[in-house]
Order: sequence, then C-alpha cells, then structure tokens
Amino acid sequence: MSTDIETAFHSSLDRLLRGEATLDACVADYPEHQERLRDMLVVALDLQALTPLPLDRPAVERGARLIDEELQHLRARLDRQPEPASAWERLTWWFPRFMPVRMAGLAAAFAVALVAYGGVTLAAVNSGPDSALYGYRLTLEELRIGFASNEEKAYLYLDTAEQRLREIESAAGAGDTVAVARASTAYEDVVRKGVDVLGAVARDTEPGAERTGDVAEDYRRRLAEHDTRFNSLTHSAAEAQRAPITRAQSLAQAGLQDVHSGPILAAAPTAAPDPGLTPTVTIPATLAISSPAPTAVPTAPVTPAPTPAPATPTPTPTPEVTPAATPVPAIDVTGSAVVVTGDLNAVTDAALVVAGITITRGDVAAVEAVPLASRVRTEAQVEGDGSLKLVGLAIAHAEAEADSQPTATPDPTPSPGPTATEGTATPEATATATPADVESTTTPDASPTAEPTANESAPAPDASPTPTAAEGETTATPEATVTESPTPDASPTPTATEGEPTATPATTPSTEPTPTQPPSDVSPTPTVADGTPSPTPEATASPEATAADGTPTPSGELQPTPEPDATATPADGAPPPPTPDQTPTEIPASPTATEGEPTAAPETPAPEPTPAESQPTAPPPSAPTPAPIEPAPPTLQGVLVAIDSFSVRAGGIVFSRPLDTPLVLRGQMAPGDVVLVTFESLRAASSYVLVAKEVAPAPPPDGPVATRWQGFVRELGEDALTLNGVRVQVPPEAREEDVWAELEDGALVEIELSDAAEPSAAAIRRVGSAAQSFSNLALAPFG
Amino acid sequence: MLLDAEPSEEQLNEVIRRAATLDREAFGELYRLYVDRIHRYIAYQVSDRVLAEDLANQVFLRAMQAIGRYQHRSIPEFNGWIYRIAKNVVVDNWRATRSTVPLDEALVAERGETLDAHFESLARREELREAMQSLTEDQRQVLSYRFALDMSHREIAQIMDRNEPAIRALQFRAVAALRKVMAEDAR
Repeated sequence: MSTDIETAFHSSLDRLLRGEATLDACVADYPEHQERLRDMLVVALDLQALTPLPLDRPAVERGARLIDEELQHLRARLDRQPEPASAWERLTWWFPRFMPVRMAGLAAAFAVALVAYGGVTLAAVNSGPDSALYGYRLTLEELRIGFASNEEKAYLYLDTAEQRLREIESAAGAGDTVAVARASTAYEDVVRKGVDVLGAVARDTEPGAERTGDVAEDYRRRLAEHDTRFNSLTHSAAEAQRAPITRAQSLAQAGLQDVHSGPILAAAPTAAPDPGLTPTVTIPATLAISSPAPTAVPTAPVTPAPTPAPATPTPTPTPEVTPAATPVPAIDVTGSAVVVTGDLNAVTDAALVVAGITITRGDVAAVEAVPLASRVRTEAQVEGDGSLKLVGLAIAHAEAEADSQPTATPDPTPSPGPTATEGTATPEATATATPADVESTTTPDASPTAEPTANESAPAPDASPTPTAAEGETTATPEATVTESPTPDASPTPTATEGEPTATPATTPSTEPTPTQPPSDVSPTPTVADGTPSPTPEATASPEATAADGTPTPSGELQPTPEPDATATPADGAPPPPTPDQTPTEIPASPTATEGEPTAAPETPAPEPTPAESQPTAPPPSAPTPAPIEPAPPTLQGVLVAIDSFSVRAGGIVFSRPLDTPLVLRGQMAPGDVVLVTFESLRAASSYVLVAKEVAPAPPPDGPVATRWQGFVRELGEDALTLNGVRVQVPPEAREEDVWAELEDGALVEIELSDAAEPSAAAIRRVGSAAQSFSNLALAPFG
Repeated sequence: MLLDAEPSEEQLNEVIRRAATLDREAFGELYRLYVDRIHRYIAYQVSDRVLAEDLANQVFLRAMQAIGRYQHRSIPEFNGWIYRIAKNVVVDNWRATRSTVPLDEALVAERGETLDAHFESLARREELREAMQSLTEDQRQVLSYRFALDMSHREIAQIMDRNEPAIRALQFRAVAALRKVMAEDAR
C-alpha cells in the first residue's frame, strides 16, 4: 500500500532531523514520490539551515537597557494619571457618594435631575463588552428604558438592540470572543424585552392604530436587517465566536417571526413605516398613582415637565418619577409585596425615594413627617407597570429590625389598597399588615410573641388575614386618592360616615398633633368610599392604647387620638412642614374604610401584649429625631425574577451585579421565591445606582445554609482564580475536568465555598447559557 | 530575582504575572528569557541582523504597552500572545520596507564558511526568504515556528490555536509551495 506524500514527507523529515537516515535513504523508501519528495526535503533542510545565530550578549544588554528605560517612562506616565484601584472605583469616582438629602429644595433638584436623566450617566460610562463596566452600563440602560412609556420602551429596546449588534460586530472584528459572547447575550435580552413590550403595546392598542403600526413596522424592518448582518457575521467570525452569534441571530429571527405573525401583526396589519418618527424618551409628568386603576401597561400620554400638584402647593414639586423596574419581567410580580429598608433620600408630593428606590406614595399620609435620612422600612406593592406603590411606612429602629424577620410573601391576588394597621403597636406591625402578609397572619401556630405585632399574633382562627381585600372591597379606589389629597373645602369637623367612627380625615394632617401628642401617635388617615372625610378624633387608632390595656381590640374600633388642630391646617390642605416633636415612629398606611367599615379585621382580637408591645417604641416626645441606628446596608424583600449575567431583578427592581466583589447567594433560591436582597445605593449625578451585594431566601431557612459566590473569572491560574477581585483557591477536588478545563477569562461562574474566610471553592459551576443554567438563573422563554 | 535559564513553570507564571503589573525586575527577567527566541523568530524572516535585533526590541516595547490587558492563564498561551506580537512587528516591517541582505563578514567568520560558500549560501537563503514572501501568513508562521524555533507540531498547534494534523498539513503545503516557487524561479 502506497503512502501519501504528506506522510512520507513528515516521516522522512523527522528521520533526517534526528540524524537517523540520509536524504537518499529517505527518498528510497518512497519510490512512488521520489522526485517530489526529494525536492521538498531539500527545501526543508534549507529552511532548517536558515536558523539565525543567537543574539550576542552586548545586544541583549542593549535591549534590556532600552526596555527598562521605556518601562520607567511608561510607569511615570501612568502614575501621572490617577486611577482608582478597582473597576467599581473607576466607575464611581466621578460622582459623589450618597449624602443624605435634608432639604426640600434638594428633593426638587432631584426631581429635575430625574427628568434630565438619560444621557449624563451613560455618557460618562461608555464601556464596551470588553470592559468590566459593561454590566453596569447595561443596567443603566435598563434603568433609562424603565422611565419610558411602553411604546417608547419598544423603540428604545430596538435602538439598544442595534447598539448591541454593533458591539457584537466590533468585538468579532477585534477577535474578542468573550466580548462577542457578552454583547450577544445582551442583544438577546433587549430583543426579547423589546418584542415583549411591543406585544403589550399591541394588546392595549386599538387594532390598526397608527403608532403601533409604526413601531411594529420598524421592528420588522430592523430585525430583518439584523438577520442579514448576523449572516455576514457568522461567515466572517472565528469559529469560537459563532455559537453566541448564532444564538443571537436565532432570537432576532424569532422576534421577527413574532412581529410578523403574532398579535403584533394583528394589531397593526397595514401600518406603514414613518421614517420621520424618532424615538424619544420622555419622562411621564404624572405618576402612576394618579391613575385610580393602574393598568398593566400604561400608555397614557406623558407630560414632559414636572408640575407641582395644584392642590398641594408645597415647596416640593411633583417629581417625574417612575420607578426603575424591569418593564416586562419573566415572572409577573404584579401585586406582590416589596419591603424596602433603608435611608429616606427624598420625599415629594408624589413619591419618596428610599435607598435609591422610588416608591410612589399611594395612600399613605404623613410621609413628610419623617425626617429625611431616617432609616425607614417601607412596604410597597408592585403595580402593573412595574412601579412600586407605598402601602406602609415606619421608621426602622435597629432593635426593631433585629426582631423583625422578613415574612412577606407574594400575594397572587393584587390588592393594592393598604390594609389596616391601626392595631399595630410597633413599626413592624405596620409592615406586617400588608397583603403580602397573608401567610404570616394566618399561620395557625403563629406565636403571639414570635412577632411583636398585633395582627400576626392574633390567635383567633377566624382572623381575617387581609381585612380589606377579604371583604372584596376595592381599596385602591379613586375616592381614596381624592381623600388622600387634601382639598380646600374639606371639612375639618369630624364626621363619621354612617355613624361609624373611622379615622382622622385626610384634611387633617396626621403630622399635626396637639402639643401633648406623643410622637408615636401619628394617626393614620383612613378614607371612606364616598370620598367624604370622616374625621373622628376619638376613632383614630392608637397603637399605644391597644397595647396598654391589653384588651383585644379590633383595629377598626379606633382609639382616641388627639383632636386635630383644624386651625393649623392650611386652607389648601397642604400638610405643614414637620416639626421636630412631630416625628413619628409609625406611619401606617391609610386604612381605606370602604363604606365606613373598619379596614382591620373586626373579629381579630389583639393579642395579649407582650412586654415589648406594652412599651411604645417611640422615642420620648422631646426626641427630635429617631434613636440612632446602626448603619446597615439597605435591603429589599421581594419576589426574585432573575439573576443573570448583568443584573439581579427582584420585586420589580433591577440591581446591578457587583463589579468588585462576588455576588453572595445564601441558600437555594429560584425565580418566584421571595428573597432578601442586600444592596448598595450609590448616588449618581442624576439617579441612583443599585448594586446587589447579597441575595438570600426570605424568610431565611432554618439552620446553616450553603453560601455561594457568583462572579466573573479573572486571573485563572493553576489552582486559583479571581472572582470579581477576590482570589479564590480551587483545590483539586473542586476542579471538575469538564468545567475547569473550559473556564475562560470573563466566564460567569458560581462557586460553592468550603471556606469563606480564606476563600476556597468546594465546587464550581459555570453560569451564563441556557444549557448551563442553574436553578436561580432565569432565562425566560422568548415571547 | 534572576531565574535560571530554564525556570520552572511556576516561576515563569509568577514572572509573567508580575510583569503584567509593569514590575521592572519581572519585565527585565521576561525580556532575558524570551529575547533570544523572539530574535530567532524574527531573524528567520528578516535577513538584516541589526534590523532583527531592533525588531526584537520592538516586540518587547509593544508587549509592555499591551501586557496590562493580557490575562495570564498558561505559558503556552503567553507564548502565543508574544509571538503574535512578534508576527505583527515583522509584518509591519515588511509593509514598510523591503529587507536587504548586507554582507556580514562577521557572520561568515562565525559560521566558518569560505566567502564563496557564504555567497552561495546567502543566495540560497535569500532565495528562500524571497520565496517565503509568496506564502500565506499562516504558512510563514508555521515554518518559522518549526525551523527557527524548533517547535514541535503540538507546540505550534497550541500557539496557532489549531490541531496538530492541521499544523502538519499546513507545514506540508508551505514546503510544497516553496518548492514550486523556487522551481519556477530556477527556470
């Protein structure tokens, strides 16, 4: 059998170079290739003879001196350019660290800044997919899009997809496989969201509506163009880059198909493109809470400039605030409860900002009474548009936080109205009176002392867990909004509708107590269904009274409260500015006593007060501010939507992943679980940046839980790697061959720690693709 | 720190990591360990000894600028990285100027050749270098690695991110192409 010439050549050359045979002998072994083989071996030997002489020592020394001099110049140049040490510092050095905002003027400035948001920060952070800041940039873009209406979101997602595609092309051209993968993943994300939003717009728009047609046509045209560009990319890209590109292209094609054949087409079958249409981002002037019945996909026209609310001519203008939320989460968190604990950054007529998270005020009164920079615990509910609506607020004390375990669980039935909190004796009780606390209030074995709250410790088996919702009443009613906003003609005279004592009227600022009123006696501001304020001073819930006598008292049987000082109420109903002695420790949600019914469960007896309950947690009246609290990072408790390569999404909020430390995961979690996100809130020039630090189940599981780290691999070594700046040892037993061998710079991995003190891995899993997803990484199905 | 001429893999990893932080001592050590290989690689493709020395230094200057972005994982990967820089330096030089072949009497003396033999050898080498210009970039690379640096097919495969059979085939096609070009020139 004859040997092919290539084999003959290599075999002969090896023998020649090893000195095992002469040229003639080699050629003689392959007579069928004799002539050609000889010529080729001669060429090869000539090539071998070309080997140059090594550098002499003086040449090496000359070169070494040259290199050393140049190195010193380079170091000197770098030293003249002060650069923060970590990637996060490089990102944030230019904006001031968070400072408490104590003046209403600053709140106004914040509102204006929110309007201006969109370009400043993004211009400052112009990082590509090869940068460590890329994830941060994507999160910022997500936040920016979160401010827009749905139709605008559709445009913005399409524009963002265009930008992602350019990044893919650029990274592929530069041969950066990691950057191609990152940009491709980001492309998939925005196309998926864009088509989802487009579908939502189409569903909420009259069939054939022109604007929807414009957007849908734009999607058809540009996604088709993307498909073509992906084809070119696939042909020109290196083999290692093709997988993510193909995946991104598949998503573009799926999106195109959806736009062509899905409900989007049905909504706009004949629309023609409008070449002159330029997508813009306009911040809604009116908040979602202005709408009595929030729709799942708000498409109301927006007003570009902030306008102070006419009925509330306070120095604080109405901000243009829409919470930074995931527009179309993979998991619908609408109606679920969110508990945010952190410093109160700003308060306006329409919203408050807690730890950088904007929460529309809903029906909760007397928020102005809470000093800015106080550490507060807020309860909110995720609205259909992803915004958060406040349902309860309390000043958080360190000891109260320590006692209070997160108990909120998502309520599948949206019941946005705040529920009774009158019977609560401590600030925590306020928090537990939301719809999210159904489970905790109905737990049969709930110990009265397990949670120092009136409702949760209610032993009655027939206790109504959600008094308002259980009665089928619509709590978030227009009337509630009307009565919440003070009106000039509102009578300060207490008038109980249908003879039922309800609560302090909205026209009486709950922050206007008599001089004898202890700070904790800030009254709730219930409303009635007919919109008539029915202030009954005697009927105002008094947590202290309930706790003091220990008598089970239905929350609806309201306890005496200081008489409202009608003369102190401004004619326009605007609440006066808080004074130091009005500092509340508890600001319960407004009980919406529909039809005059008490909003709390009447049959629910208050528990035997524990000693702790008997003692008001409020500071003494002379205390102008809450008791000092230990500094603690802000937290958000809400439904986990996803943890992906770029963000952590929970409770309608998008958190950026940390850049300089791994993301800590405690215990097992899955999308849909209620989790506690510990985060950092950084004040940017015109917004806040939320960086998730840790995600844990809520409530925490009993016993020890495994702690895992997630982060991006750097400095991969033989037995260690660096995860977001933290060096982690990887002993041999943790190096599963198929994972370890495939690891690469920039890969997102999850590490089970065997020792967190001296970081050491027990196991490593790769994260970041559908095939390698794990339980808490949500990769939503397309569409 | 002065490493042995053949440092251990661990030592070399440490030097590379420190050099990535622009540590002077480490970068100097890196230069000492790699300059001869880089010079050989360049000199194989450039006939001017002085130019080859200059280009070798250029490789390290470029590496100095880029090493901050290099993420070290393995020595073969570092080798590939620095040889890619060397390749770019050579290509850039070819684009800028055509090399000449100076008579280097010192070379003759060092090789112990007679002047006539040297001229004949020089002509042959120049003929080869000229012929190499007609090869593809990958073909030139594989010949340089194989014959100038005496790398195995496996080592070349690691650096060029190919598999071993592909490298063997590439080398075969390169030699075959050279033979064909030189045969045509002879006619």
